[in-house]
Amino acid sequence: MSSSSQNLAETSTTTPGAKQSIKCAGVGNGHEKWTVAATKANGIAIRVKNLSKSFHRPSVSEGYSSIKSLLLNLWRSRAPKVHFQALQDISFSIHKGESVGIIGSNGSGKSTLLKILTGIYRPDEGEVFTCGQINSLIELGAGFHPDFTGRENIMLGGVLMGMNKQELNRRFDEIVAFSELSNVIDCPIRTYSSGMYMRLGFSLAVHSDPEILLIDEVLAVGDAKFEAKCRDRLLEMKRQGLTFILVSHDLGSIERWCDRAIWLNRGVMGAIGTPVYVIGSYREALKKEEEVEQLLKAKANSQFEEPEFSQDSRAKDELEDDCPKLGSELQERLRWGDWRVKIVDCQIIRDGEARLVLGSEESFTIMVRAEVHDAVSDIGMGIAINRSDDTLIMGTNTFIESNAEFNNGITGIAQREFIAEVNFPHGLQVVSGSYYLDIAFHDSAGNSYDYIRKILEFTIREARQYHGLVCSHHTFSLKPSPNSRS
Amino acid sequence: MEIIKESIKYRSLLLALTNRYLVSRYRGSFLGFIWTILNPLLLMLIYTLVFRYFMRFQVDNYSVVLLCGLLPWTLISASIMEGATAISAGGQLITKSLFPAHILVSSRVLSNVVNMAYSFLVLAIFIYLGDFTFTLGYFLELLFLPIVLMLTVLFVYGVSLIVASMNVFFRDIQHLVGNLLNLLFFLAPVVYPISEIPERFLPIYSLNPFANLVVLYHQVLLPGPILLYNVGLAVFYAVLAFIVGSYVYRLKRETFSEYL
Repeated sequence: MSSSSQNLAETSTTTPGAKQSIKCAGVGNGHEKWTVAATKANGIAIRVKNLSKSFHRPSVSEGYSSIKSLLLNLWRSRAPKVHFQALQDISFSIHKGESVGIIGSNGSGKSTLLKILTGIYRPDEGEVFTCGQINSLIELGAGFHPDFTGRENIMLGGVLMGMNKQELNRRFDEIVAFSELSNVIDCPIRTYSSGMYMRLGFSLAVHSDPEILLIDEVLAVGDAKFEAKCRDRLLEMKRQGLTFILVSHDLGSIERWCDRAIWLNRGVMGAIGTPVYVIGSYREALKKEEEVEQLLKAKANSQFEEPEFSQDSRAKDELEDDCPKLGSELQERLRWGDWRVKIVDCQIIRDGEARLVLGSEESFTIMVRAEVHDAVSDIGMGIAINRSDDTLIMGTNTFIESNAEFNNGITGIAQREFIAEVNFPHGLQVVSGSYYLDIAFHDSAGNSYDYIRKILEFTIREARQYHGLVCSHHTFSLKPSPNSRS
Repeated sequence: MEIIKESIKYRSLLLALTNRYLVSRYRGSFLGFIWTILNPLLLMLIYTLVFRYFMRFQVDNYSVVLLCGLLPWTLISASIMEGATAISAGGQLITKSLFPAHILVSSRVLSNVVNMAYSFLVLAIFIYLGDFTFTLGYFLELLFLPIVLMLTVLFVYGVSLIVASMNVFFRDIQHLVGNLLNLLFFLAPVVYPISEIPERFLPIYSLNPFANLVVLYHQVLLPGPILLYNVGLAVFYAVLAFIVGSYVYRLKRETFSEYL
């Protein structure tokens, strides 16, 4: 304990230009030392390297020991300790102006990570570098005093967020106006609802001009209107260079708000990359877990072995450098092929614009950009549309449809890059919900050149609440029965 | 020192918290802030009744002498008692924001200092009404009061930091402290006059830092010489308590957030 605090004292640095810089090195690690200057030059806001954190608690039921148990344990070997590895070997870096979402099941270390980034917890091992003033909204009313009025808490919290008195006085009205709490600003905040807490906290945080903002779960309690306001504000600040990290279980908002996402899986890095991909991996793992549980339940008494994720990872060696390399088996299961033809980009286009939300009967076009790397003679393209629970809604390819013109067209392409389009003139005609798109180029035997599962997640929004899976185009009408004519 | 630097940086926070403790202490009571003055007066009446009239202590100006020791004692004991739980009751401030925990302790101490400052006004009236002969020397001695007060605050702050830091890990501390303070109350010359202690034992008696401070207040507030010996001891204890306090705090503060 003493050694870690000494270590901190030695390595804490403050540089001019960065309002607050934390640099801390773990005990006795020989990692490469990053200087704050280098970090700044790279435009990196947060850099985490091999971070580990565990909690040791004496296994006393109250969670803290008493002198009695301490004395007893003096001559008993050692107090039995409960060891909990909250984070293990986490590494990532976040650029300035980037927005990153962190997802994961409860207890996977999301909040611990934020607390370490904020400086509330110290890492056991590894290095954390942050560049710039970090403000955090960790759960509701963090840093607020329940007996203080809203006004006093703004003053208090503002100081904690690095503002001075003059700044606070100058921006006070702005803060209150943003939070829309002017009528209760002089009430003690223990009388506030959770939504009001959040408004106050968020409003204060965005007005304190942080360079990095960490937000943990808090936005969920706001109403839709305020959430939209928060989002607009955050995105505006992001344009001005704010880096923010959002922890949420609302995967939709992670996808809408963030450039990248990180999935923490029981304290280790599950995946990092685009939100769609990371959320996909997370969902897949959840589903897998559920399946395993059900299987376990079903085969409760038989000798059941847990399926290993790596069993069907076939393309590990084939992953090329420019594919997102994520070291996760799940990633390999999301994309495979021999890369002779490679998908570069995929978009859903409507009215000339990329869209992720469509009406049930709105026409759209799937536009796929791909590259031919190696001439192929036998090729077709396939698509599959899955509901978010992985029910296959429709799957087709150009072999099924005997579209020789298309297939031969690809074979005859001279230039490297081409664009393939799939047109849905009458829309998808399915019920509201979120759907995934799989895209593949493969030969007639089904061997993949490039197969990407869940390349896009999109939403069908239909005002009418149909039942079932699809809502094929139809009309109801009445006709007089020929029999009823007398 | 880091603690001092941080205290200056977060001074508005410190003042706001101090103010909050002062306001919240008597919130909802009819007499409100008057209780700050009324509490020690009532305590004085009780002790006077018990020790002067039941136990029949023969001391001139017993009430005034009593008050001279009682007010500093209230500062010392209330600060340490409240200080002991300051960090462990800090809750969300510690676990969910980057909050310098020692501010919680210092604001407790500070609010008690303000309380005492108010009750000193009453003491001044009592001393004036009391049966004393005032010389120029007495008024010069009064000039030492701020210094003695500062030594008290430093000492109390240091002790509070120690107990507050330890109380996070062992909640027994707060109960131990309460009982220990009860004992110390009778080891210090508050209810009995210092003249009860044989003169040759006084140096040893003063080795108790709590007793020494009360003795010092008697020397400053009442006619009679201020002994350099007691001042020296007070300085020594104050500095020692502060150094040990900030050391213990520095050692443990990293883990506060994990244990709360």
